[in-house]
Amino acid sequence: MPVTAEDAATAPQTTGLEQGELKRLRAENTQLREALARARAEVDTFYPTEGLLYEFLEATPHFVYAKDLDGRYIMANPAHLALFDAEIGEVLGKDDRQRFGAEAAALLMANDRAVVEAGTALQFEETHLVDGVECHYLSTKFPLHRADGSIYAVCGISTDITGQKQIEQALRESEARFRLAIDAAPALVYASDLETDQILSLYGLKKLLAEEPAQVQTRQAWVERVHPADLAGCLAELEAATAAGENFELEYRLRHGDGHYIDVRENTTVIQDEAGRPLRHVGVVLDISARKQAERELRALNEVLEARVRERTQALAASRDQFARLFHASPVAGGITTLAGGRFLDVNERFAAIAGYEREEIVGHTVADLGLWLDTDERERMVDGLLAQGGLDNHELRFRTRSGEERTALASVELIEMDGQPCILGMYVDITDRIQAEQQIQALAQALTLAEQRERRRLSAVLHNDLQQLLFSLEMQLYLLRRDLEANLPPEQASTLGALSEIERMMEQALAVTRTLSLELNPPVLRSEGLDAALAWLGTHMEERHRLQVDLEVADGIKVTSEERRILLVQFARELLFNVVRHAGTARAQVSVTGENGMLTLTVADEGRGFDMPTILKQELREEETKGLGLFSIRQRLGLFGGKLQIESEPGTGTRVTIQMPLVSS
Amino acid sequence: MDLQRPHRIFIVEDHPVMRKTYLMLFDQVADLEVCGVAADGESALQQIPELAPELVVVDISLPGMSGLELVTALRTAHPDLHLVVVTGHDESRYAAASYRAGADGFVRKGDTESILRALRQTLAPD
Repeated sequence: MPVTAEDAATAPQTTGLEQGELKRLRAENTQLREALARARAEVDTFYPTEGLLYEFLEATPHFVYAKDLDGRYIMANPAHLALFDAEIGEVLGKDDRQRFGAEAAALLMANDRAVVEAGTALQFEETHLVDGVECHYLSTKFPLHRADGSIYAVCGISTDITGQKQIEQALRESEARFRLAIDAAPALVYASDLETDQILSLYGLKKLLAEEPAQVQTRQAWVERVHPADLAGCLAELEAATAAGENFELEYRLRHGDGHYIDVRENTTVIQDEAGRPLRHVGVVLDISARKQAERELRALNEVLEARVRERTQALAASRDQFARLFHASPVAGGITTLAGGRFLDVNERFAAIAGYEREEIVGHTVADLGLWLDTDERERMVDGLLAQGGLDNHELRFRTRSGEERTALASVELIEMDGQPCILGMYVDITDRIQAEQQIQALAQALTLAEQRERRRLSAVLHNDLQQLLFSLEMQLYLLRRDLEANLPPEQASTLGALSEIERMMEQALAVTRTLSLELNPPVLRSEGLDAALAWLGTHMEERHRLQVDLEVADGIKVTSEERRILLVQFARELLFNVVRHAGTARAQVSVTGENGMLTLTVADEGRGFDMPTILKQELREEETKGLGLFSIRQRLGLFGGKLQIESEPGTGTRVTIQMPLVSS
Repeated sequence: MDLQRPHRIFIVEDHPVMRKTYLMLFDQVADLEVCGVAADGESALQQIPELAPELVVVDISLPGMSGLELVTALRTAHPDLHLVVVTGHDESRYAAASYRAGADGFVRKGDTESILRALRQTLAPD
């Protein structure tokens, strides 16, 4: 515990022994004072004076202060006072709680106590709020001792390190951001010393190569990881750039920690000294494997595409060559015109031949120039149909040759592209001769029908007018003979009457046959009356002769003025009704006639057993060979008159045969 | 009917063999006799007024004027004349047409017994 002067003055009186002791002590004290005086003299010789110390305290920018053991300020230098904008009177005798508040004071006072406890100087970083701003100080605090060595105060010298702390903080934040960036990017940042070959700093190695920095401490260690195939090129570029002091960029493959190679791109800055000598490399290495892979895939894809394009181009060229050869060699007339304008780009020889031109006289000209189509709107209609349907088959069109002859062609056209422009490829078959032949065939067919009918009539007339009359006459004479024999025949010749009866019976049969034949060959109703009357007769005839009940329905207003068509229709109806009798297994049939748009429709239907179409058609064909009748025959003859036949039947559902025939010839 | 006097019959038949056969037939039949024959309608129309037959046998198929037209004409000109149509056609529709035209009888050829019966019934319906 420290002893003060007051303590000595108030001490009690002493005894003799004590006086002797006191004397010794006083002597000793005197010696000590003298020693002290000598020491002070020595100190004054070697240490600054108190005035100098005062000047130091006044002038130093550091904040110097002292607090007693209760924490009360016993000294503060002008810099300290200026910092807190305080007068010395406002500071002395107050502790940190009073000056800075309990919270801020707690740490300061704890540091002071630590110094007292340690009995030696300690260094702290302390914080003060100055004008609302947090300021940082580096404080060296040390105890002040009395002469007896006891501590009576703690002295502090604080230096404002706020700026430094801010720089450090900014640096830390910057580094943290940098690390974040490095960590986030597949990148490595390094700095290497070219002289020592050491890698000075390395960030992102683990992420890039899955290795520890300790494994890559030298530039050589890095080089060893470069793909052998890339190494020579990289080193050459690197050395050249380094020597020239130029920044460089390299792309190469780098071995990953697990052994496989990754693609990297290195951007490096060469740091030089003042003399221009290269000192360091500072670089960024990026993992570009994904990009390289994408590039490789793209390249591969491009190669595949290019190969395909080459193949397609070759195939197209081959196809075009083949097309051109086929087009020009085709026996069918062909022409290619532009969709817009109808200009001929090409025609084959056959086309030129049927149009009556030289090929060169057509190519380059339009359809309109040449006046090819008889109907000038024909091409427009064809193009409309082509665009709507994508192609037209067997489109009939009339054209005019160079000599003015009008002909008919069957056109099949489709859209194609020639040298990037839409065109029409048309193939044309000149059917003029065929049409004429068909017309001749049709005329012949009609003439044949009439001739056949005439022949039927002639035969019928012969039967009726001659043969039948003779038979009637014979029958009358037999009647007279029987009368005569019955009256005059002797009994022994009675058998003659039996023979006569046999002759009469045969005569009846002969008459019946000739009657039926005559009627069927030429039903009188066919010539004299309309189709409905003829069909009505046919219905009655079928019922009387073949026990087939025919329900007839003829729409009003049906008129078939052409006798040959009327005869044909009745013949067809009769043939179809005979089919019902022969095949259907029913005693009833329906015949209906309707007419619409110049086309007559005759339907013969039954609800009989029906048939399997392929089977019956084969059967019909066989019958065709023997009888010359049947469906096949009807279809053939109908076709010659521009008509058609449709058969609908299934086993068990009956049969429906529909005949359609134009009412006038085409 | 007067049994002593045969009925006078006029035959209209275009076929010569049939005409001849008719003559043979009626020559053998006591109650009927042929007073005249014609091969067509026009000839018949000319002869009949003069010959004044009781009955005319008309074949339906005749050249020129048809049998039915002749029946119509005769019926108009001679309302009391008996008219019988004969035909080789095997069709009932001719019968109806014949009666519509004015015939009193209709019979098919080929059955002489029926022809004779038809003529006698026409001449003496009772």
